[in-house]
Amino acid sequence: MENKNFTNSYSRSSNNNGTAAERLKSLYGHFVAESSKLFPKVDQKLLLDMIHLETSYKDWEGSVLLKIVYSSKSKVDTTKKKEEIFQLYQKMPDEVIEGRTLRVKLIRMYIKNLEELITSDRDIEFVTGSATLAPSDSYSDSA
Amino acid sequence: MESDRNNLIIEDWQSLVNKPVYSSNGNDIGIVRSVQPEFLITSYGSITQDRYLIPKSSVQSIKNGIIYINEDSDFVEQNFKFE
Repeated sequence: MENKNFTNSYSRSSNNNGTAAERLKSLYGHFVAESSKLFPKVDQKLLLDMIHLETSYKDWEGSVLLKIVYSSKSKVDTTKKKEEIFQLYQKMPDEVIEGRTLRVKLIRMYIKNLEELITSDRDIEFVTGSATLAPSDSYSDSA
Repeated sequence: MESDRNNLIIEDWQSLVNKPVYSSNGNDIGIVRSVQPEFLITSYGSITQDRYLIPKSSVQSIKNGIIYINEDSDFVEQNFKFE
């Protein structure tokens, strides 16, 4: 009982702006808002999964399934886009939606590489997909 | 935050998650699954889901918890569907 009281009083005294839980939620909210500003074209779930794997597992191989969505306004040549991705990563993407979405499974794709991919191609409107701890040949949503 | 074209002011876009979206001709486009800085991501269907990127500027109105957009379902299918 004494220990419990000590813990509770410590939690309260450690933070004058509410409970630890409230503060943690607030910090997380700020983090998500900031990550959304830094990577506005990336699906937040993909981004958070990649950050988690990249920072938690130093030997993570950067295994991701990317779905790259091109702007419907710019009428992109997806055949050319496929070749560009092949040149960069030696993997040929599938076309999920004609003229709009390519899907490709990659390794060694870290946040920095994702940033480079997006900044190198203005036709990219959005990137979604999934990141997994271990590489897989599957094309399911869970990679 | 606001939907420019319609002068619709939305204070909290996150509150639109799980709300249904309808096209201008009354077709169900799906449910809002997440909110990106410029888009709402919606999905339709239970097993193989179709997913759409709806620009925030397309939101015309919100009535009784339903989001209505400016474009009709053909336009949505051709321009907003990405998966």
